[in-house]
Parts: sequence; C-alpha cells; structure tokens
Amino acid sequence: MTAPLAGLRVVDLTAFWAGPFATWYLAAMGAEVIKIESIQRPDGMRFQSVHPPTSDGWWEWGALYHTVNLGKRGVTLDLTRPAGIDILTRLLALSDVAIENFSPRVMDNLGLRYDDLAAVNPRLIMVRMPAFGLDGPWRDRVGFAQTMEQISGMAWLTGFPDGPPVIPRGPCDPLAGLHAVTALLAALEQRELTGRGQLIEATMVEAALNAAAEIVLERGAYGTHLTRDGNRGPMGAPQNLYACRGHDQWLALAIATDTQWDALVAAMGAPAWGRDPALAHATGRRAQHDRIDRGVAEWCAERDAATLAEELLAQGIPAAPVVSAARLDQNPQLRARGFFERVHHPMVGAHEFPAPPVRLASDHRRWYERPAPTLGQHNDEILRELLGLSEAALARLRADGIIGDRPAGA
Amino acid sequence: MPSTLDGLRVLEIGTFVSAPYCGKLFAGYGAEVIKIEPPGGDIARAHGPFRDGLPNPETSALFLYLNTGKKSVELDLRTAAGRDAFLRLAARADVVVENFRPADLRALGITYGTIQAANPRAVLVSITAFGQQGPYADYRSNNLIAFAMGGQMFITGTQEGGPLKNGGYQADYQGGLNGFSAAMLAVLAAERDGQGQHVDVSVQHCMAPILEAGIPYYSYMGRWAGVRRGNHMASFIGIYPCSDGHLGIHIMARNWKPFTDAINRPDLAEDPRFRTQADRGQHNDELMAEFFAWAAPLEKREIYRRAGPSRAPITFVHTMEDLLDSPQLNARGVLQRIDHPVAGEGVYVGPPWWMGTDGWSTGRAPLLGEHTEEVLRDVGGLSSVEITHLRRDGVRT
Repeated sequence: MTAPLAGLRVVDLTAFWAGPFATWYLAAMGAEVIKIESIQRPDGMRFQSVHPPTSDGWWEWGALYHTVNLGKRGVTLDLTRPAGIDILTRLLALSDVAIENFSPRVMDNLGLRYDDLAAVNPRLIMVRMPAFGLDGPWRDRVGFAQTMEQISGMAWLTGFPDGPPVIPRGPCDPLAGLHAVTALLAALEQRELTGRGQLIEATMVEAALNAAAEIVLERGAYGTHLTRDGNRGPMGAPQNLYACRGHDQWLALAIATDTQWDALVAAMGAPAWGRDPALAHATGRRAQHDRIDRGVAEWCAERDAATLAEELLAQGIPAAPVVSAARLDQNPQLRARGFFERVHHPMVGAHEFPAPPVRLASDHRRWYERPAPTLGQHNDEILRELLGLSEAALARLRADGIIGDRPAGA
Repeated sequence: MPSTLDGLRVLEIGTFVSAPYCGKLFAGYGAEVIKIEPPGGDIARAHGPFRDGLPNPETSALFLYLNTGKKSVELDLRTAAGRDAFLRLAARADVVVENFRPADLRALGITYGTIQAANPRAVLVSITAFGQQGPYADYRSNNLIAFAMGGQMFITGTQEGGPLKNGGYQADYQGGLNGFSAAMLAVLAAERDGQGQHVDVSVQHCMAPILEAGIPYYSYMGRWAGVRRGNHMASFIGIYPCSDGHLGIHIMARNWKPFTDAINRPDLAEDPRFRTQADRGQHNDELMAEFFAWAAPLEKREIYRRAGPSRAPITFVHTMEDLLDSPQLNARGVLQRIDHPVAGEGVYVGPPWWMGTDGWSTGRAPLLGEHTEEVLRDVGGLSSVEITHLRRDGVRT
C-alpha cells in the first residue's frame, strides 16, 4: 500500500506547535520529514517537559513535543555558522518542501531566500508561517495561539453573557498548521502540471480568522452586535450544559427540532412543565429557555452523564457527556475508529498517541513509523546517507558543535 | 496564469459549516465547485443575522461567507430523477463532498459504490460528526455536541463556571479543513493510480488531537494538571481588563525583560520575587495583582502601539470593530469587499494563505438555484426536455 505522500521529502525548520503540527500531518501521510533543530536552540516545545530542568535528559520528556513530532527524523544544525547553513542548503537542494515558522526576519538573516533556493532546485515548495505576515505594520510582532484567539474574535465570542471574553484554549496552532498543509497540497497538485514549486505564505492570524470569519461579515455588512452566549447557540433551544451526578460531570444537550423536543420530554417522563404547549415550538422554547434549563437541570442532577447521554442519543436526541480531555482514550467511538496508535519512545516507553482524524480507504498503514526524534538522533544517518559525509567530517562537525545530541550547556 | 486547482470539479452536497468550508477552500483555489442544495436551500441560509434583520435565504452572513465562488443547483435528491441527475454530475466530477449522517445518505440511495459505478476516479469525502463506523456513527450531533465529545470544552472556562464551548463553529471548521486536506491527498493518489476512494472524516476526531497535550501527559504521569483555568494559564499568560476592553499578555522566559521595558516598569524587572519564570510562578498571585493594577487604566490600542515590535507579547481582545479597523489586516488586503445582488456589499475575510503564482478567487456566494439549468445542461449533459421534467419532479430552477 503506497502512503499518500510517499517519496515527498520535507525539510522542517519549524518549532513550537503550529509548524510542527503541519509536518506531523505530512509525516503521518507518509512524507519523509527531516526536523532541524540545534543544540544551541532546541525546539521550544522541549522545554515544556514533564521532568524538571534539574534532571538529566529533561529535554526528551516533552509530552506535546512527542505528539507533534511523531514520525519525523531529527537533525541538529547550528544555522548561525556557515558550516550549518552549508549542510542545510545541500539538504534543501535534494528536497521537495522547506517549511519554517520563524519571525520573518530570520530566514533573510540566514540568507535563505526562496528565489536563491529555487534557482538551485526549481521544484522546491517553500512554506513560510509567520504570525502576522511577511509584510504589514505588525510583521515583526510575536504571536502565540492565544494572541490569535484574542485578535481573531474567537475570544470575544467565547464566555458567558455577563462575564468577560474567555480564551478558548488552543485551537489556533493546529488551525494554522493545517491551513498551511492545504496550501502545500494544492501547490503539489499544481507542480504536477508545471513542474515548478512556489513560495507559500500561510500566516497564523489569517488562518485563525478564516475559521471565525462569518462574524466579520455579520458586523461589517449588517452592523450586528454579536455577544457571548455561554453554551447556548442560535440553532438549538434548549441548548446548554447540565450538571450531573458526581464531580465535574456534565450533560450537553442541543435540541434542534420540535421532534427532538418531544422525544426529550418523553425521556424525562413527560413532566407537566415539559408538556406546556408554549414550549412545543422553537420560538416558545427560546423565550422560556431559563425555565427549561431549571427543569432539565433538576432532572439531570442525580443522574449519570454518560449513561444519560447514551440513552438520549439512542432516541435521536443530540446529547453528549462533556468528555474529559485527558480521558478521551476511554471514549468508545474514538476507540472504535482507531483514534490511538501505540508508539514506543526510547525514553518514556510505549504510549498511545492520537492519529490523524481522516481515513483514506486506500491507506491501511500504521500512521507512525517512528516516535518523535531525540535531539540530533539522526545526524549521522541523514548526513551520511543523503550528503555522503565521511566519519571524519561528522566527527569534525560534532567537535565544533555544529551537530550534537545534548542542548548546549545542559 | 491559471489558478492552482484550475480544471478540478467538485460537487458539494453539504449543508451548514463543515462540508461548505471544505468546498469554499476548493473554490478559493480555483476549482469549479457545484453546490447541490435541497429544495429551499442549505440550512445555513436560515441562520441569522440577515440584512436589515429580516430573514432572507439570500442574506445570511454565515451562508454568504461559506459559499463564496460556488455555483448553486437546487435538486431534490429524494426523488429518483434528482438522484439520477446527481449521479450524472458525479460522473463528471473529481471530488464529491458531503456531510450527511451515514444513515441519511444511505436512505437517499447514495453510497461510495454508486458514485464509483458512475465514475471510478471520483473521490468521495464524507465529513460527519463521528465517522462512518463505530457505535456513535449514526448518532445526531451539532455544534455543542462536537465540543463536548471532542474534549475541547472540558478545558475551556473556569472550574466554578463549568465547561464552556468556543464561540463560533470551530469544530465544524476543523471538519471542513481536514476534509479538504484529505480530499487533496486522494486527488493526488487518483492521478497516480487512476482510482478514486472514500475519505472518512470525523469531527469528533478532528477536535481530539488538537488539545494541548492532554492525552500523552495523562498517559506519562497518571494524572493531569489541565484543569480549567479561565483566562489565566498563569499570571503572565492571560487576559486583564483595561479601561476600554481587555489586554492579553503571553510572557515566556525570554520575553520578561522586553516586557518590563515596554511597559516602563524597571521595578518589576528588578523585583527578586519575579526574577525567573520559576520565581514568577512561585509568586503568581502577587504578580497577577500587579498586572490587574497595571492594566486597569490603560487604553488597549495605545498600549498595543507602544509595545510595538519589541519582544513584549502584549495584545488585546479584538471586538468586531477592532478587526475591521485592524491596520495589519487592512495593509495585507485580508479584508476584501464583495458585492452581492441581494445582500449588497460586504467585508469578507480573504484567503488563509498567499501563494506565489496566483490569487484567491473572490466570487460571491450563489443565489439559490442560480446555476441549476446551466450546470445540468453543460456538466450533466441533460437535454432541455429532461430539465423540464426535472423541474417538475425533482428540482426548481
């Protein structure tokens, strides 16, 4: 079975989460991803370790690093010195894709301009993932996921009506990463016809904005003031969370049709308040949402959320327990779909990691051929195989600290 | 210069957000996207707000945004004639995108098998709440359910206030985005192998791997520190109210000095309680009190301007006005004006990326059934007699 991206070689200069998320996807789809770090500047995600910086090897214990770098091989290169740049340039000449998420000035400072690289390797596709863009007044600003959540309007719309805007915890890195992947795949399709690569600029802020963009049009065109509405929403009445038996257990319920409402009332044992004809249609239910919330909350309070959700779902009512982010491994649907793949890592042992959310009928491989790389793990292998470096040359690079497998100073 | 996906034809039998966002990305890259709408149209057409506040299927902002650059064919797939016309279009398409509940699509007599029989090279992309198989496959879902089932909601909000869903339709956007990527992989494979395939995307599954490390962390440590922390992951990562809104700060270790410089607080920089990131974590509450007091009198745009491009990650929570006025988004041409015969001119968010050789197609959203006749005739090869019959039985034009 051929993996969808078999034969595609990607030189991955990204760090943290947004960029590595893009190359995680490419690696899972069969691309050969070579992750570049340096002992002088390891990927910042290594610093989010489950072990304290006082313990040896702490940089190999980053849970998120291990997740988003699955399937990649790792090389360290000090790009601040000519020997490091020389090796990188030679790798790029042999590759299909270069991808980076530095501040815009870094690639220029390193002398790695797309035009120069394309002159050597016209098939190269270069994906640049700056926070705010390669130009514009905010070009050089620092941006994290939460920055994007605050700027894109997502935070403004998240929260309760009487409370402040709330940070929605994390979707912007993966959004940026996957949007960059979409552009890259389209460029691959175009390269089939033209034989040439191109430069792609996929910013974090514009990716985030695209996934919240109807609010811009709503405000700009119609002057509508959207407000935060907690867990309610325009397509359901009632729609909310209800506390269930036990600690921090919740039922999510979102009634979209009158039929579903009738089924819910029946499931609750047809209480008198539920049979009120004023609640038979969405408009009436919306007008008395608070009253419905009180009734449903009372009904849920002593029941088990997961059992209740199963019962309601089986009756065609959109319901769910609020699934703990840490215990998704217990979710029967994700289990049945093969959400988890077990991967052995030399430091932490075998653990389950999430698989990509898509299934291609033609592709039944394992997703991950290897765990996330330890720092500089594949220096010798890659520099020998691809560039033909001798043992003596490798030893010299190691002695000079151009390559290595421990963070400088650790 | 031809567009990136020029020549690719996509049929969309999808409603609301997920499949339409997938189709929108195809249209933006230059593919021909034919949106097949049920009689009365995509349910997103009923989603407010509308122009002048009056419900109108042609002026839903959600619909207008998600369907830029597409053609609309109104076709009743529940009728034999409608289904037949759909399969004739599928015979000429590279990709079919749908987001029906699996049982509902089967009830229409449409499966990957029927599409494959009409066109072996076609790629069918199914974007559903829970995927094609498994115990939940045919359960009903929607926005709230997707956030609850995917784990995202559990980590958003406060411990006291309970879990909180994200504003907007993030989960469905994730489904559309993943649908597009997987469709492109299958298109590339079809070009190589001459064979299409069925691509299965689960929105629940889309949400689960994007959580901040919850899964491996729990697996490594046997416990989980990821409680809901509201607006403060720590004192130095979070939102603080200011005089006219909310400021956000996100200070990693190396940002501390530039930050205290930018806000002109050498006293904080020199305070031994706050010297290292670990110190700042240790004295979290004291530092948080400092930040609340610091932010309270400030004006959001002024402090943002002052922070400038120094390595002081200060931002502010943008309202819709702030977005529309954004100097960065305006300078980059991200906000684009598109006219529409019924809704009028609107400001649309443009492409999520820029490519070197060509632009993003910015055609408006179609009127309901605007291209029914043209598409059935030119793509489906239906005669005018057949179209007349369809109009009576399975379609309105």
